[in-house]
Amino acid sequence: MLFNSIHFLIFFPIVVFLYFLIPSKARYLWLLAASYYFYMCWNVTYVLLLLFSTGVTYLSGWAIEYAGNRPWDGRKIQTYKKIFVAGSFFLNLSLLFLFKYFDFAIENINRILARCNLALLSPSFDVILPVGISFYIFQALSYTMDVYRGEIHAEKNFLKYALFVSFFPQLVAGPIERSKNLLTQIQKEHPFDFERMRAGLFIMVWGYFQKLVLADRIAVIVDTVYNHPMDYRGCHFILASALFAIQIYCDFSGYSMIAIGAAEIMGFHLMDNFDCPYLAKTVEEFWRRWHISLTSWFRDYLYIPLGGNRRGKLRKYLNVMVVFLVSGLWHGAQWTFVIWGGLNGLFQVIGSATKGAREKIAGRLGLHTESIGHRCLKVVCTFILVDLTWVFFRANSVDDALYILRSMFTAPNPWIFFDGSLYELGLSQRQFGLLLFSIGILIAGDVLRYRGVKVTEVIFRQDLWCRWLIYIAAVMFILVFGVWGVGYDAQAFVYFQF
Amino acid sequence: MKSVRLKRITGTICFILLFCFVFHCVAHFMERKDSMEQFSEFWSDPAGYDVWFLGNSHMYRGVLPMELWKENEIRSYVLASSGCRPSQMYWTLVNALDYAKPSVLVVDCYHIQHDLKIQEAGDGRQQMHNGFDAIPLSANKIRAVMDLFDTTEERLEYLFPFSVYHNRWEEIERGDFSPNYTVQKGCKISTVVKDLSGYKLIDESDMIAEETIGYLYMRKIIELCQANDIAVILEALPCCKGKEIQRALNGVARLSTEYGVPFLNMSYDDTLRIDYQTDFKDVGHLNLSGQRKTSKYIGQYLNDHFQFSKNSLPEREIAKWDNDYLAYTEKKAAWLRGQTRLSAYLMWLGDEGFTCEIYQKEGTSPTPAVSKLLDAVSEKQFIGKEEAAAQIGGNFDGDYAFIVRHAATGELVDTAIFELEKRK
Repeated sequence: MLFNSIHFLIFFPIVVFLYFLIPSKARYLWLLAASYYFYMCWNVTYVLLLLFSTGVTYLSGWAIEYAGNRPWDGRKIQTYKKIFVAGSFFLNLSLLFLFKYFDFAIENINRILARCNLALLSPSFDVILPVGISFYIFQALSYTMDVYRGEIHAEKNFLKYALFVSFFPQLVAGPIERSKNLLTQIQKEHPFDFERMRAGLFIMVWGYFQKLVLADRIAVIVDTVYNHPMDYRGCHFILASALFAIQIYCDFSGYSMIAIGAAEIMGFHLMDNFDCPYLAKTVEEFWRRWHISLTSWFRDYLYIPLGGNRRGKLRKYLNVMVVFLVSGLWHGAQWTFVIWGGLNGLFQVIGSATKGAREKIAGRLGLHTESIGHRCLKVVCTFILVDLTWVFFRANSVDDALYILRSMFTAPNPWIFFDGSLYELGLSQRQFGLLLFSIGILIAGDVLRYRGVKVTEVIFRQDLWCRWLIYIAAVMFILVFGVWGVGYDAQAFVYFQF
Repeated sequence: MKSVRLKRITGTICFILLFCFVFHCVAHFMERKDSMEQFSEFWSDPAGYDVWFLGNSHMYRGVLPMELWKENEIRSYVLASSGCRPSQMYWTLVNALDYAKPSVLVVDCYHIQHDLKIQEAGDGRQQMHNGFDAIPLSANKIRAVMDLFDTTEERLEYLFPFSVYHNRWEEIERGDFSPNYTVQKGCKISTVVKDLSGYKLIDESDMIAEETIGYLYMRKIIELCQANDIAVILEALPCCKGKEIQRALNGVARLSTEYGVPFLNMSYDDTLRIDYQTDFKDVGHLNLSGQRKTSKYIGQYLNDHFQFSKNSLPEREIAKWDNDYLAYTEKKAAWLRGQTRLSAYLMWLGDEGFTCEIYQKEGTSPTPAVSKLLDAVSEKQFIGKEEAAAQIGGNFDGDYAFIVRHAATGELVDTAIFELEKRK
């Protein structure tokens, strides 16, 4: 069930309505049933995977706490706890490997064997990737780790825990919640709160704007160019890549906003997943603002256990590279994603290694690094670097990505911006105008947020007529200008595939 | 606390109502206007008609309701849309019966051969919107959509077509804010000529025996009418489609016998005098010339078998229809003036509302079709070049010149000069 489907627009109000009618103590059961139904709409069988992951992490949490409470010596307790954590990680990551990376691994092993003139492996595991498997497995694993670290107590009620893993707003594409945040909220009562519902709805509207008006409209151009790279050159790729940066942001951020808004309506506060990422001044800062729930997951459960930045610069750089290569692989079982992750890691390593030198040069040249101009330049440079990595993320193969990058720099055709050939990429002149206007709204929204202005609060402070005007105009804008309805092949949110 | 809650509930209800109002207005502007232009006059007052013509494109190109008013004093409306299958006709009838009951229902049987309820996905589904969009939302419209479509998306699409039309924001124009309703009471007119003189009809007794989904719904239509005391007339308009279609249409005779309802299989009735050289727009549809003949035929049939008369109507109703006829006459004059091909121009001159003086250059040899259409011009008088030039207002070069007047008032409608087939 997609957030932008009729199915969800019927499902969600029913869930919310009944949620507030049911006695508080039983509400979590209703949400659990709704969440499992939500997941089963894609594939009924795959709900077993969700149950498996939930069961394994629930039992591991319980076992870790049980071991911790035994009157054993500290080392024995630690050994047992580690065994249970390792067991949970092994079983969950095996599941992930089997469904997501098995064919990729076999394919690569076969390539190596073929080069060595050895017999090829033939097993294959031809299944559809279960929707959201990377998200809920990571969320469940964070629980195991948090219990191991003693940051939370193991949850006794299996059904409440199952709801933590399967909470439908963020089940298939995040934000990847932490048990400290979401599990504790599941324990609490959430009476109906009008203000909260209003805020949640407004957040959802912003999410739908990002998805339907921007992401799906941009997808038309990006798909046209990236799916037939040999038919285009130079500036086509520059334009499509710049637009893809906005598309992937609006698509994923849009989903997160709808998830956050939907949860807010029911009284749950999910973590922010994006914080104006394209206004970052360095690639490192970009990653503090992009997909925050995943980045912080890797920071807490991979980067820090690897030693973080406490073991010298070289080790820190190595850790950064490991984290980003794994992050790339998390996004998909393809070399394009691994290269994308590696490049992001590399840019951060280079940025960190040259930081001192750059500051010295700026000082000698007398540059005012805090001036608006300088900051804008940094933002633009960061955008360009990040956008270059997106080429690998979006391209259908490494060869395509290399061709596109080469063409960007060696086959300039700037006249396409003036001779009308832009309008042959799938969007008419009016559609292009609308797209630019909408991007303007997006940038304005992000800049205001960056400057600490809470737009929702500003709107809620207005007089009734003004508020209603804004609400109605916003919804009508999406309904009229959004890409949806007949002839619209409801595009799944890009991040579902991860 | 209670007052705050009450205030919020009231505010929410008001907001929802306001939103619905704005949404309704926006949806109205965004809507494609074809359906509204063709049918909204009917749906605004379904009780105002004695005869309903139910069918598809064959039907809306097979009858002229305003001529039926003028000639036969029959108030009728054509409830026909492109590609409309018997299933859709049935549900259109069910919905219309929610509001009124006609004396007679004339049903076109084309598409009875199909074994699918509705057209397969694609352009055909878009055509279905034409018939569906104007039907007011009601329990029976929901039942119709539930019966005809299988998926939730499709059902919602036909109940709330905004999901289709919101994409029209790129093509919104002045007419979307003030749509013009057609004056023809649901029919459409074409002046294109397709020469089908080689067409061979199969024998009328050659018919299919098997039942199709089309037959199933045709039975439902008949049974519904009989349950409501509405006289049903089944008809098949002349067309030049393949053998299988003609066999299916001939098979309607079985239904006619079974239910004791008349069946007008017009392809086989020589009194119609359909000319395969001049009366078709394409292999499936009649043009104005053919439409005039079938319309007269149906009007005559209705007059012979039913009692329709102005005298039984209130004066206001008569005045309304007379005014509508006046608007239709003006529209006909405008259509005539807009013709640029000789055959189309002559087809309009076949209307009894016009008189015409014609100059034909000596030695001109018209095509057989033009020759027949020229013969069919009802009130004509041939004149010389000087006389034509005097009336047109100067000397001219051309093969034909026409001075057209309203038959009733003598008022000048148009003057035209044609060189070969093209207007100068």
